[in-house]
Amino acid sequence: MRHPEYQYLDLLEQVLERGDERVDRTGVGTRSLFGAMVRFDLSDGRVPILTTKRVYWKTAVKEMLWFLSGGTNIRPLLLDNVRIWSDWPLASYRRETGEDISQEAFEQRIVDDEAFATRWGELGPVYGKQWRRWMGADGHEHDQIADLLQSLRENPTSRRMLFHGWNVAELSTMALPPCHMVYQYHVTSDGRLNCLMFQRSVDLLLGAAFFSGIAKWIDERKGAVDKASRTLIA
Amino acid sequence: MQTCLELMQHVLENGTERGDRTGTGTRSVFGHQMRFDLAAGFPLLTTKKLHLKSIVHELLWFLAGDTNVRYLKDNGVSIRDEWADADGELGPVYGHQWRSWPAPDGRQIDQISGLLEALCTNPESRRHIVSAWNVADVDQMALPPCHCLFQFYVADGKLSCMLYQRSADIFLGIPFFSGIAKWIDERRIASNKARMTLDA
Repeated sequence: MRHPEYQYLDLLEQVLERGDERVDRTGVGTRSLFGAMVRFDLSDGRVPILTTKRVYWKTAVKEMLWFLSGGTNIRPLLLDNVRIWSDWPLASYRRETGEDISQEAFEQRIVDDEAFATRWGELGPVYGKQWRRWMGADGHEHDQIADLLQSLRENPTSRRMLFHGWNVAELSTMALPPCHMVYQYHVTSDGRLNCLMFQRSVDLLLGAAFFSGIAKWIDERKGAVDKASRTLIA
Repeated sequence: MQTCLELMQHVLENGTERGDRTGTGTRSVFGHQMRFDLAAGFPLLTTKKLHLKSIVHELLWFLAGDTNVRYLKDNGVSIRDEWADADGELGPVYGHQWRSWPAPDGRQIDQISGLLEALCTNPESRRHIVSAWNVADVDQMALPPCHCLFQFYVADGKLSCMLYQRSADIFLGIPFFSGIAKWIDERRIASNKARMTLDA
């Protein structure tokens, strides 16, 4: 059997050979394909982290824990030396104050000054907010992760075990609309857990592919199972 | 066509048997993907009878933002009757979320208009998405959305569509209803409207 990583390499090749060339929102220009799908067997503790490029898997894990904790401010990430979300708060700080601050200096202020972080480190209602505190029109908040874990325990054959980041009402106030926007789970009759993640857009070369598409998804899957089994044991 | 038959074979051979909410029992596979070339024609199934009228009227009903079965009944479509309340209401289902997704600040967001506008003004966007999965409203719906969301993509002047469906009854007909015909219709209506708007 071919190594599962070939799915990623084959996809890169397809994009190169028949991807559509286009200009995009960022002005960088892209070559793109629509609707590709990759599958990985996660049994026996396998984690399909890419081996053909360096993967900052600890960053992926830390980001995932931050999502799951409901976080939307970059301070906890920076305290953990994760800098992947700094671009957006930095840009809005520069835009609104006119101060030509370096990324390093900005990040240091976020770390040193909690009030500054509260004012300038917010990303808006991104992933963590939607996953843990999705707000309805009536102001009521919904914890999708808690509901998912409850359903995994009490009603594992449910076809409604999913959580979403795409809250239409709040998209315009997010630093970035969610890329990995739906996660769905499925439990087989012999107790195995499947996960499917829907991502509307991903930068294959720069690494969203492994960050969001692979490592994160696996971590989540494991985290959910572990939590579910821990709670079952408790 | 072969794609659907192969899926059925796959479920029969590899599906996991499980109980379910309805007490019927199911055999299921997870995360299947099918692709159809819509330049080659309209992929309606031919190995079983399809009630094409239901498909078209239901889609128009969705697009009108309607959530009451009256329009469907008036047009001889009964597929949603069993979930409707005494007044024919289904709750904030598809049409409501597509055309008037409610926000905490009182706004109502029309995703279809937003989509059509973006298809015209910013075709390369990676955000051409319409979602019906409003977490806060799911409990009030007669049925939570099966076809939860769809995404469009424009390349080389051609429109592609991807539909995400959390659950589909393969034998009873969801695959053609929601997964295929509706998706195509949706795609066509959107593309026609987009063209009309471009011409206008």
